[in-house]
Amino acid sequence: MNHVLLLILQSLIFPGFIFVFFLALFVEWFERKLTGRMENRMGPTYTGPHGILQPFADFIKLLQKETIDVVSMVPQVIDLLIVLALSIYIFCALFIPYTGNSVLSFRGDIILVPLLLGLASGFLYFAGLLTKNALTVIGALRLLLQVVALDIPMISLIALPAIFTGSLTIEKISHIMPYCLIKQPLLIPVWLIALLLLAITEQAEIERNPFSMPHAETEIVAGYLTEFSGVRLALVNLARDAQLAVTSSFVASIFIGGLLTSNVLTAKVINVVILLLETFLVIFVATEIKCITARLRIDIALDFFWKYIIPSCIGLLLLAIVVKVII
Amino acid sequence: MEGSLTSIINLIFGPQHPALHEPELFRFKVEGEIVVKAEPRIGYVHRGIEKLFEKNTYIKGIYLSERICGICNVAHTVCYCQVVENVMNIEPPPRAKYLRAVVHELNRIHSHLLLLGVAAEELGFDTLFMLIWRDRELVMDLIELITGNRVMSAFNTIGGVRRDVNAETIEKVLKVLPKLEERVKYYRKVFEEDPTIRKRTVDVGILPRRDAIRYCVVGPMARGSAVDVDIRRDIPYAAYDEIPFNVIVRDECDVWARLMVRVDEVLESINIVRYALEHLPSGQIRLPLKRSAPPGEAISRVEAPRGELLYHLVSKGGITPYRLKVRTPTLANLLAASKLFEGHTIADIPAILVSIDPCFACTDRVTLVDVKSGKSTKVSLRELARRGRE
Amino acid sequence: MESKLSEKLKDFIIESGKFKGGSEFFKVDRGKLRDVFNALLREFKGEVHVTTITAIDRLDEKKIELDYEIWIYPIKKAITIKVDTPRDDPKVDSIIDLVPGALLYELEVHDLFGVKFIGNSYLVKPFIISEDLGSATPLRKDWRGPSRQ
Repeated sequence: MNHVLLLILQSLIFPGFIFVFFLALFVEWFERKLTGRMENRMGPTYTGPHGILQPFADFIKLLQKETIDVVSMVPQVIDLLIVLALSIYIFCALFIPYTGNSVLSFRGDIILVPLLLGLASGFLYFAGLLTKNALTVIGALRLLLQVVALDIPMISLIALPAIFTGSLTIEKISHIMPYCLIKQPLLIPVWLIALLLLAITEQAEIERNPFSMPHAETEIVAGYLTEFSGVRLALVNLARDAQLAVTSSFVASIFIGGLLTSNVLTAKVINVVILLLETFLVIFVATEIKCITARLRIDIALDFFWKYIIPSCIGLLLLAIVVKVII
Repeated sequence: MEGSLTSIINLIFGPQHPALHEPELFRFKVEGEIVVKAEPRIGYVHRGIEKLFEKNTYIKGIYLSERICGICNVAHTVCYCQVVENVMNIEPPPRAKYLRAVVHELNRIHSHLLLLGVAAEELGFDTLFMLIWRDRELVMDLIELITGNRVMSAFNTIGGVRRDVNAETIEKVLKVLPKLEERVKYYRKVFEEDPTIRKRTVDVGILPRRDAIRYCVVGPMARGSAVDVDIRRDIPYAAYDEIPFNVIVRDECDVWARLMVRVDEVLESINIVRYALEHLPSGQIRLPLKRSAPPGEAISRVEAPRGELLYHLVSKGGITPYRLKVRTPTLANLLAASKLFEGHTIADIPAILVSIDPCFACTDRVTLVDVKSGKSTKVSLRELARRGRE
Repeated sequence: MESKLSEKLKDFIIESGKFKGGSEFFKVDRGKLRDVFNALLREFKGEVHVTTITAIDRLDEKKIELDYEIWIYPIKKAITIKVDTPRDDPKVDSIIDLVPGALLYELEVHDLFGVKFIGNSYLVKPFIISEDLGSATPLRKDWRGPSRQ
């Protein structure tokens, strides 16, 4: 009984809904502020200290706005898909060991989380596609093409930490991860190449420049998000912020890791701080890449993915296996 | 690749669209990602300025012509004043001609930097957009220093210019120019070398030289297609017959070439401003004002930032023109541009659009409103009219 | 160079002269417009640029004058070809098959002056002016605005 109660509390508060909600908003502020500073602007300044409450204010404001009915045969399905996408991102957060221990954890969850992340993108894609508008349809098609091209490199990259550590559990990997590289120095070059490929792949996963084609502003207005307004837009924005936060935390926990195994409260707090700092580091790199590139064309991007990224990811995977066997 | 996924979609750009900074409508028929047909619909900002010229005096016309296009306002006033001077048989003093060239070139720098910033934004490169527009402020400050206003300079008048520069101003301008040049050289490097920009612009929107001539394109668009034409050199006006400069011509014929032509022209313009200020002749800056013109007809051509600008004035005597025809450069480039879209992807639409540097207000001859009012002092209407004549 | 140009066109020229401030103009017969352009295109290997078509409503002479402002690339020279057309039935041959770039100028003149270009199948009305003006030709001298019409 206690266990169930704890689970409900955890999924509602930490690291569930409330935590992801505020983390997502904070991450949005962080990204906006960083982008602003990198572009020689101020970024948000008005609401709260250094504008930290701006995303929250935006969220509240959007909730008050009229939700314009979209031209669609199944508007309820659109709402359902958006809520589902948001809940999947929150669900994914339960697998991420913010305190050093995941709420839910089983052997193989390292494969489940990227699949769920892809599924949530798919839901957003369908939500966009169901609003019958030329712009959303084009945006949704671009998103689909991108997600399809993204799956293989993402999965093969995520398999690398599993190979390094010999574990399929996120929690365990995040504990062993950086230390196992010191024990097996041959793997360090593989890890570095993996980080490079990961930086590119994650950029596409979170739809930032140079892979921001699904919602390329100057081409298709807001892509698959064009028709959303009011509450719907607030939830979609929140879902996309949550996507950024959860994806970055996930990547940070399995590629950098370094969490403490101890069960003391201080160790748990330290773990939260470490993982959040790592998350912000990942977002910092993503924002940096976003700010120094122009948007690619979808055909160039797909070309790039299928011709270069996917073969190199698979090659790297094979290399990692060979190195591991030699060791 | 994606073409087989969908049937033809009608994609409508505008009148409001993030890629268009002015109201204009483009209807695209899109198959997958490929544009099969493009139709522009112009006229959203048509205000009948040509008719308005016929109702207003020659002096009011200066300010009216300035408001045809806010961005290249100096080109418009230079052209208007020249055409009226031709009909009135007057020749502005040499110092005025040099000052016209200086402000005209500063205006060109500001317009080109604006366009390059917008180009970066349309390609999704927001950082470059912000940085270029930051450095564009240097030019805006120079324009304000010389003419008294950032955008609508109201600098030219019939028979000369309205403000003189002193040695101190010249020194200030010459001090800022190297700073600007250094920044522009850096941006040139970015446009030349950045892989994502090159991927988006090289071999996109190719307009061969033959087509450039057939579709009568003008300005940087023609020069980017290896058509060697520049009114400043071919029919020298203001002080351009005495100032040495190069005409930038590239033969790549794509979007990238058109952007590079503009970057290089900015560097040329900086040199022109420097030369003109260093060799500024002394003397008066304007002739006594004439209000009426004798009967006659004249044509004036000017190389505006976007290309050849033409004013054709018919006078039947009196203080108002009988007919004033304005041909703005964007109208000339629009037809070729709508041909260029066909066969390219949706993602190339903004890139091609920005490479013609569209100014639809010019095309439709609209009134643009100047935002910057400066200090608020109470001025009577009569006083304003008097100032206008100065 | 100048003499060469007027010699080439001498069969068509009715009248020639100079604008104030320089550039030359040649007045040609309405029916010979296409021949002039053909001659120019042949002479300069197609490198002829039509800058614009200026229409002037000469109310007292009951005619509309069309000025084809031309820029010739090989000799870097600007000339103007003038054509007169009667005011009540303004018609002139289209040149868009010879110089496609003239399309928008023909559409503009058609829209604002009501001049018909024979052979131009793209003529639409309204092109630039707003739709509620309908078939008005606002740049004609006797047009008094929509409210007073």
